[in-house]
Amino acid sequence: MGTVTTPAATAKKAPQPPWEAAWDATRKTLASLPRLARVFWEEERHWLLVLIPLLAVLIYPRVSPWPPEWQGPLAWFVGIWTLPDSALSFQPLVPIGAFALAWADREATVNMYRTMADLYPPTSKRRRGPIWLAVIGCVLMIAAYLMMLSPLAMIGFLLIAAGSLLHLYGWAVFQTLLRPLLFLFAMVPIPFSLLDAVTQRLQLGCAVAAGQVLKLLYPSTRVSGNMILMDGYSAMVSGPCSGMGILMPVLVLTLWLGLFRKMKWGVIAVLLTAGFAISLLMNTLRIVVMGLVGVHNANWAQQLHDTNSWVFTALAFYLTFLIAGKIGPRKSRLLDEEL
Amino acid sequence: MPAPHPTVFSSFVRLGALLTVTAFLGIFVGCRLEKRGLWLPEVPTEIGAWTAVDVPLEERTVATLGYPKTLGRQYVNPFDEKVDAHVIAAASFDAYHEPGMCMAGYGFSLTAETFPQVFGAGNKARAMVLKHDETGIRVLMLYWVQYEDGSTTGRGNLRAYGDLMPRLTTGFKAAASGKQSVIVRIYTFVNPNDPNIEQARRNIYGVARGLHKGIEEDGKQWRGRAAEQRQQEGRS
Repeated sequence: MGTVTTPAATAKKAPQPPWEAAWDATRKTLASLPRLARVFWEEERHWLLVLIPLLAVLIYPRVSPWPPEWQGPLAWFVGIWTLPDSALSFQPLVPIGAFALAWADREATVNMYRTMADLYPPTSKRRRGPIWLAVIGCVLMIAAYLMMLSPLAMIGFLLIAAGSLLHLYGWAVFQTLLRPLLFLFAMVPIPFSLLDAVTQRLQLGCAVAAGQVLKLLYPSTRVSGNMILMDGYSAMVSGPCSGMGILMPVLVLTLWLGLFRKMKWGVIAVLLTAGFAISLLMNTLRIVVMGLVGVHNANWAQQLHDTNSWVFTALAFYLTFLIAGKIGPRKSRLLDEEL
Repeated sequence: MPAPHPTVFSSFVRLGALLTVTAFLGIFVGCRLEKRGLWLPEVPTEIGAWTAVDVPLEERTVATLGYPKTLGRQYVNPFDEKVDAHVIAAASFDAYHEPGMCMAGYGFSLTAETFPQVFGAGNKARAMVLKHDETGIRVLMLYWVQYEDGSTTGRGNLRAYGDLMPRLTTGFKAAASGKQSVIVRIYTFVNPNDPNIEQARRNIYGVARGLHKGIEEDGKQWRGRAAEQRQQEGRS
């Protein structure tokens, strides 16, 4: 039997659940892709002059032997992100965060663009910016090719992208995009030597802290280097549970939150410090739980050791998020101003 | 079709040209650098009174060097004095791994360093004395990078972020000249009865010069040999 829908019933219909709204928006966007592609080709295809070489700066095929393989800076970055237990595996998600920041400020950007277009003709120098930022990015990129240094390549690429926007839109519009552009620098790979040094210190520190807690429950617990020795169980605090896998994403998420809510830099610094401390506490808690489980079942403890740290990362960020609600503005200032 | 204003379009063209030049330089440098490390020379098994046996490098060491082609030899003379030699294809920046740092892992500290011209004017090597922290045992080590034409440099380490200029110079030379190079490091333990390291120096210099000559001769033939090999691979 079919359902009868009257205009009155439709008007009183319950609001769509969020997932349905998101699905509808995705479906509409996908449906409009061919139209958008046609509009882009008809009106904006001069962008290909910049986008194609920008892609070629990042990735190019190896000429020989056959079959060719992709190489270049993007291949270096992917290599870093996909390393087992990589503390930087979250970095491919950073552009999504930058896009969200840009989207939150879209009206300011659009308004500034329109204002500039109303005030100055296309030939005005105020509508364009200098090219030197893109040139510096290109020089750094060439140095990165020669030295095969991925951090330098990422900095070079981001400067090229920022320099392109500056050159094409001018200072006024560029300044409205500063926050997402700054956030993109969270994608710069941390040098291995620095990462290793910090990881080692965190391993030792977390092992000592967790050892002290476990000693309260099991007095015979000893800590030797990054080994926690208990009766019938010994745990090595290494790679996956060094804490870097929690610390790095929490710091970047906290930075994003601070930028999204347009907090002052001092407040962001306090939040980052809080995020740092909470991440280390979470990692210590993880090791303590590992020790407590390991006394009864070593296999489960090993699984806990090797388990991806996303659960603890989420928990650590949630606690930082609660602190952010207490010490910083609760919503984007822009949103408040609009309201 | 609304075309962009000529001023706007010229900005796109300028930026596109800049990025295209950068991308082409990237492809060129990438192609040149990927050809590094193809050459691992054949070195003499006998140098004067010294006779060599193969002693391959440890798996861990090869991994630290980024898995290049390597050759490990131990030269022994009639008095049972030994000189160990490692010849490493310069396939990547990892291959230049600082030997002093390697030895630090085994408890050695660098106590002296100099850059003598072991192979004639302008052709330097890096000489190092390393001392074991607990036992006091000393090691004399020579380290050099040798090009196809026989020229050498006693370059120091190439840590990724501590030595940017040497790294840039190495990359530039590899991309600009396309010359192949190998890294040679040889070492011997210093006898406690040799306080001034004279005997150890004589031994290591003798082996080093023999190796240098062998590598230089191989370098002269290498281009032709590599071309023949490529032709044969092409036919098959």
